[in-house]
Amino acid sequence: MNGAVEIRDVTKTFDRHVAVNDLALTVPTGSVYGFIGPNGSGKTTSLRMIMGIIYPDPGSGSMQVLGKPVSRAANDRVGYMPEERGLYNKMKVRDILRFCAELKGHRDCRGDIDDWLGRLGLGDWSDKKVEALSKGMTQKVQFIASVIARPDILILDEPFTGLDPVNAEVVKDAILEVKRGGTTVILSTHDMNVAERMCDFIFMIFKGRKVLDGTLESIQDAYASDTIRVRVEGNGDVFGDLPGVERVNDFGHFQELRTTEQADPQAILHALAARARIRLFELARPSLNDIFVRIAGPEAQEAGHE
Amino acid sequence: MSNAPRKVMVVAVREYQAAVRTKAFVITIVIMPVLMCGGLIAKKFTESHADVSDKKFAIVDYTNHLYEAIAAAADQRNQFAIYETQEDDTRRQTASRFVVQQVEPADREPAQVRLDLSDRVRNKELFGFLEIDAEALEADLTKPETTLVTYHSNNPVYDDFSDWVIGPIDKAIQAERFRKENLPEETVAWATQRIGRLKDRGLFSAGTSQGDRGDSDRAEARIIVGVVMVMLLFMVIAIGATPLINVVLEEKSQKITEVLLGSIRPFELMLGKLIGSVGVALTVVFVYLGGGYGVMIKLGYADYLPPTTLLIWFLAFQSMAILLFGSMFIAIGAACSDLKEAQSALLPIWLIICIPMFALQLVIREPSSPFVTALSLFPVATPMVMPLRLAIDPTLALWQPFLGLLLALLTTLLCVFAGGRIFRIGILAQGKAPKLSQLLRWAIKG
Repeated sequence: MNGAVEIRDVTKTFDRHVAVNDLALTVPTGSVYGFIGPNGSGKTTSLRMIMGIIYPDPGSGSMQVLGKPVSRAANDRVGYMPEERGLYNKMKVRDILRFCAELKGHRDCRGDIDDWLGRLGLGDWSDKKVEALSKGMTQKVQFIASVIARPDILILDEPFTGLDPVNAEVVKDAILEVKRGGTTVILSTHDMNVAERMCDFIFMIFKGRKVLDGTLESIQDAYASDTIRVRVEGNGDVFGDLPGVERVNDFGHFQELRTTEQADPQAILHALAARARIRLFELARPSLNDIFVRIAGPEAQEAGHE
Repeated sequence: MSNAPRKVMVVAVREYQAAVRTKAFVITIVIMPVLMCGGLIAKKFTESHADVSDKKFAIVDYTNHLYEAIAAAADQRNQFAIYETQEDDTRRQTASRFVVQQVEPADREPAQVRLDLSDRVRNKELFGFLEIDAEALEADLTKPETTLVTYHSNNPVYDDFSDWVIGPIDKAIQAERFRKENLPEETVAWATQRIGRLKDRGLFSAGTSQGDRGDSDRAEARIIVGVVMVMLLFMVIAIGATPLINVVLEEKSQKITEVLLGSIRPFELMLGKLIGSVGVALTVVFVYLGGGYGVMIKLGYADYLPPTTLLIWFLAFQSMAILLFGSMFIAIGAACSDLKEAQSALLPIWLIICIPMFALQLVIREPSSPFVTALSLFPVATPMVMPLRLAIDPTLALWQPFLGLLLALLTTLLCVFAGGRIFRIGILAQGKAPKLSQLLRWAIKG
């Protein structure tokens, strides 16, 4: 075990509901590790277990953070920004950041506070009470609170929710800067574009079970052979009964054909060429969003029920 | 400082500052004594605004010998007993004058007289009427079922007249009986002299020159000190511990808890809050005690100040009370989702806190009775009752406060431990408040 976080066969049950089932993952040190999955799939439960806020079922596997078993003592080397975030409204921004830093054992933090507030455009708000801040500002303060103690691991649960594009960009840059400083970043998100752009590794959890784990390339490779992107002249109504095509996803300007495992792209090309003039025909890698929908979309859910 | 104690102190300092650095705290410090002394102020107010208008009473004296004496006694009372001398030597009337008037039955039947007088009472002409039986001078007054003198009014709560008039009637009957026996007036006066009211003047101590005066002043001062300590403790719980519920609910509703739990264990978080509250409570106590000491010394009553050992006991018990009740408040705050739920859950705890207040008079009257001793060793009552007993009875065996402290400490540890478990589970729980059985399960199984 040499990852920043190592989880082996961990299960967490709430009453009779299994929130996380035999979870296993390794977060490589220094990486940005993306947690994706639909609502209620077990992302937050997993992150809370890594933080030691809730505990796995007794006797179910093992968890190590920075090489040590997760104990009931909060880990000062791990920064955490939960999905449900809040701050004391009556406290001044500077005071609450100092409080968060001191809780993590980082006492001499005045310089860091000024530095971070300046970087995130909050320099003029340091002596204002939290209640005076906008939602976006509060979220940025929350982010600073999670990084102020210079953690070795930074866990961010939906860090971009509620941010406008400008502030989202600012926070994204800050996260990548923290990563460049050597911090391992675990990032939970619903935004597949964010996961694709920022994450070195992507982990998907669905109904409490791991369904994806690896680099974006490796995941896309695993799904690459079944997608063909095409653009044809005409109204595009030429895809019915194409041999080896099980689903057509129409994006307007182009269509994505999902093929069966045995399908031959050459045969599809010939069949399609006989029906219309082809402008584009490429064997494409599916987007993360597409993969996500395949795994967790209504069709997959129905298939799962069957 | 290692991690856990340092974190506890960081939370404690924040909680302390958040509580003390507010206008609400300063206002509460000022207002709370006013509210607590509200009873005394209300009493003074009602006294000064008491109805002092004349109250008229009819007296039907079938003996024909007693009315004059009653009227004379009423005159005497109206001249002297209903006034209070002010600091500027002026007199202020504090009670109503009793204006009595004799009613002659003439040829009416007693029942008819009663009906007529009752109507006059209903018509507000009279406040009440008194009927003295013709046999009153001869009959045996000691018979419990005697109805020789009866009083009738429309206001059974107002007993000032009935309480007062029985004295002059007794005296007049006695005088009449002595006269019939031909006993000289001087002899009667000598034989019926009374000592009057007996006042406890306290005990004597060697080496003091108090003459015939004991230390009753000090005994009274000790009672006052004890009562003030109980009131102070009550205030301290209200100011120091009760806000813990709001703080926990705020953290829960504002989603602050999970941010904190990323840095600190729930038990440490709770402990920090409790220590912060003890700090708030000590601040309140020092403000009030400092003020009280200053005033006492300034007014020349330094001799009546409580001994240092009593203060130490008080501070120990008040800190225990904050930890004990504070842990309960925190657990309730963590288990509930909103203030309404929390207030319902809080009611039984406030009833427990108020038990010693209900027994205050009993403790003052008999501080060493078996019941009071047992009450002072009942852990949730100990922090209030034991300091009061210590204040009133300086000879109290030391094993009692020590045992009380030990039992309270054990109960406090149990409550903090159970509260910590409830807090850990409840603080992240959302939705409906757990039932009592579920709370117990959280506390026992964790």
